[in-house]
Amino acid sequence: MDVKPGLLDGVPLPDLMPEEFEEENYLNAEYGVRSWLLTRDHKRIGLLYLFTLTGMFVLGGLAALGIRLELLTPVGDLMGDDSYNKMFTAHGIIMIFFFLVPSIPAVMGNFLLPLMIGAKDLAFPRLNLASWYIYLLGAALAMGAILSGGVDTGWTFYTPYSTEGSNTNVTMTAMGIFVSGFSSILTGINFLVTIHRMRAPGLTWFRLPLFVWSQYATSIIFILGTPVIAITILLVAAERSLDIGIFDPALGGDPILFQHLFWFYSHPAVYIMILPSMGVVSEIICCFSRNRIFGYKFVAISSLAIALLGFLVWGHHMFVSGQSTNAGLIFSFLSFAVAVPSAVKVFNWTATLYRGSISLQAPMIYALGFIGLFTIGGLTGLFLAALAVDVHLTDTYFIVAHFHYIMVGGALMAYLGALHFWWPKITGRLYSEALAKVSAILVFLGFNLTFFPQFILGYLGMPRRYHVYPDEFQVLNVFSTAGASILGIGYLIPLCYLAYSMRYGPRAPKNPWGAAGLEWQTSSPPPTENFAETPVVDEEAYDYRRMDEKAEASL
Amino acid sequence: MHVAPDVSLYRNIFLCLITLTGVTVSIAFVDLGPWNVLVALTVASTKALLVLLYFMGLRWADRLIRFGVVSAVFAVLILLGGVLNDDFHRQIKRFQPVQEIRASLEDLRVRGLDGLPAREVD
Amino acid sequence: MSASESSHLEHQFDDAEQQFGAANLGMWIFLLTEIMFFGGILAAYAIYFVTFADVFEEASNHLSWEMGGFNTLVLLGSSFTMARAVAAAQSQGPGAQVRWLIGTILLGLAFLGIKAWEYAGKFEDQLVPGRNFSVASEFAAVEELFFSFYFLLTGLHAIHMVIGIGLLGYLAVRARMGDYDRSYFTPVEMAGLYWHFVDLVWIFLFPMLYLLGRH
Repeated sequence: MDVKPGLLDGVPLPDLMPEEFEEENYLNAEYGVRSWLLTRDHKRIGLLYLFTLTGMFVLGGLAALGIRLELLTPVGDLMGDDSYNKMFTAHGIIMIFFFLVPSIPAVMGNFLLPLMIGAKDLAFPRLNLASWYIYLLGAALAMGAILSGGVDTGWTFYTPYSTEGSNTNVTMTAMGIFVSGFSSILTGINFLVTIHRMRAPGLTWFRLPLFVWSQYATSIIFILGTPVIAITILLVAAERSLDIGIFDPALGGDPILFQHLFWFYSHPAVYIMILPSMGVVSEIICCFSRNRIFGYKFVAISSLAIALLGFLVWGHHMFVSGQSTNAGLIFSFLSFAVAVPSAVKVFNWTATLYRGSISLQAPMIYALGFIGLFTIGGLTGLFLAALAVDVHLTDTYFIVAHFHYIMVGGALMAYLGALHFWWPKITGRLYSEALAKVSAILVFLGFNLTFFPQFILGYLGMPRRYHVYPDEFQVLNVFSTAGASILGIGYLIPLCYLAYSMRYGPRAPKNPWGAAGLEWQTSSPPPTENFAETPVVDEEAYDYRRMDEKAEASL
Repeated sequence: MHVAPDVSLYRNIFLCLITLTGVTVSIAFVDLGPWNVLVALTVASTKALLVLLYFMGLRWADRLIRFGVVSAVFAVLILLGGVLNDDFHRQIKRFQPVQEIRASLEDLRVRGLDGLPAREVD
Repeated sequence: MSASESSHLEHQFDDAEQQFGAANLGMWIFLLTEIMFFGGILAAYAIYFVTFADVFEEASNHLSWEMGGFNTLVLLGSSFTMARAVAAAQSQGPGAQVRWLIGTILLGLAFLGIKAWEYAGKFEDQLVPGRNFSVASEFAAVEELFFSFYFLLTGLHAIHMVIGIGLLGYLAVRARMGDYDRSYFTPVEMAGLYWHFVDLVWIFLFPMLYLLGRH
């Protein structure tokens, strides 16, 4: 009989019933609104982000609901053209800038990074709190703009429409995004300095959890990429409000220059959104297959490679917008190249599963779903990297499906997986594993029903950002909306049982999953100082075989 | 933690910077054709390097920090290079000889198609 | 009497050296973001320069190279005084520290004053894009593009200077209270890095804006 130390489905562990926590931890160390709003504890700041981001996700999701309801019929019956434009713009801006970009770094990265490296906090705790407030300010500005009239340029703000044509709240939205960029930058600075300067004794670079490597690579992109969108957005706002024309064709300005500047950040931004998820998947796959990661160094370095190569491919968003064929060729080639490190990760995760002792808990279902859906999304990216194919597929629903497979089927599922995996650590409670499994499967099924038809729609020629479409596309659109409803339910259920578990869930032990990593060596939830004594590391990461052998031997 | 450089170094660097400023201003008034831009950028880069290395202490800093500075500069150059390469290959009228641009712009103006407000006839 | 290391040590650090190393690395990484920020707009400017070189040269001649040049010397001087201020924070007393910091602030204010004078002149000369722009040139539109960059670049730079002066003012107050000495002068050194960087940006702005087409 093989022994699987870890969480037993739905059975509360003895002696640890709900209600009070006996020892002091970061949650009960201090009470009151001020102790939360003025906290310097990275764990509390992670939770502050969790609540704000959940709110933003709901808002972005409502915009998605509006879109999918409108697309049930081929005519514009629910809303007019302008309203539809504002709807998809709101959805894109909220989901990208105010949910996905911060998501795993601000919630899980903030919470876990110091724990994973054996530190007491991040390098700059006050900057960390400032980061959250700056994010709030940016979100307030953007939401103010969206709710008081909206923006109809699309999240891509292409000029000259955004600078001269549109009469909507472009400037205010742009300022919201500009401000929130500083939040990302501060987080990036904090993470890079923490990882470089505050690792526990013995924790060499190649003993770090892969989640830390992914945060490191993501932070590089935060630092090098975000300032460029900041200046680009500032230029658009200046052009609109001060009539200082940089992209104004009447002054000799070049709209394509805007696109180059915009995508120089926005392409690496998609790697900001996916790299942390990949780190999460590495952690989960190892734990639930009880195997060390296959090819640790390759997986670690591939994160850096993705971050770096990601800066070289921005032109693949501009193949048909007036860019030269020569540039198109170069960007196409480089786009094929950037797929290689991602593929390395997928191969290595699969090899890690091989001959592993696999248990399908909710985090694992999310992680496995990630691998499949990210692979599909990534492969379709290769289709799009081919110039000729892109001419046909660009600006169609194929693109929409492609990036939703990666962002929703990939990043969002990993975010949910991360929430579930580290939930016992963050809250000290266990959630309902049965409900979690059901939701994970609902999410997976609902997701595919929503977005797979969109690949077909795009290939058949349905353009994106249109709400009036030829009748023959209706059936697939109806499937897509049906899927979206299931997906929505799949997201609502965890909201309920996770919130419930915070009060009524069974008490979690230190390490319910039997996982490797320093964060599991301290209590659930951790004390404010994280560790009673600074840990010393002398083992490789993910030493599951040895851990399980030791556990078995001690029985 | 670190040794304070002796202040005469700062004075010397400052004097170099003043001198180089004088150089760049003087050369600007000499016609070197297309080389003016390159020379100006080279002098500016030299001044920047002096500030970076000696005033900001990059000379004695961690390899990591030096690598970071190089990476950021490199990233800007990638942006610049990518866009210039695209602009060059787009064969838009910009890279044509100036006389041709003037002629075609004048042509547009005469036909009232230049998008600018009507000029007063003088 | 002197600031002791431990009173400034934050709980997440093991020792003062780690704390300083973190602050230093953090400030440098922030400066990398500034390189990307100014680099982005400078790249856009450079791209337009390649396209419209002769018109940009004509437009540049409207700027006063004397004022720009003098401002360059002022700013370089302020970098010198800043470097002396950091050295004073490490090895001299509050008096010297405050003097060098005030000197830097004064030079910074002089720079801004001259800049304001320049801007006022632009309004008079009808060289303000979008508001009051008129040049006698067949390429007036492109000259307006040049001046858009002029105001954006120097304006962003000026905002950074105002922030820097504010920072230095705060440091001068702390220095007067005797907060900085050999064992702890991190804030002064970090502010120094920021100040030198702002000078660095101007080192590029001056020739790229003021010295085009002067021959």
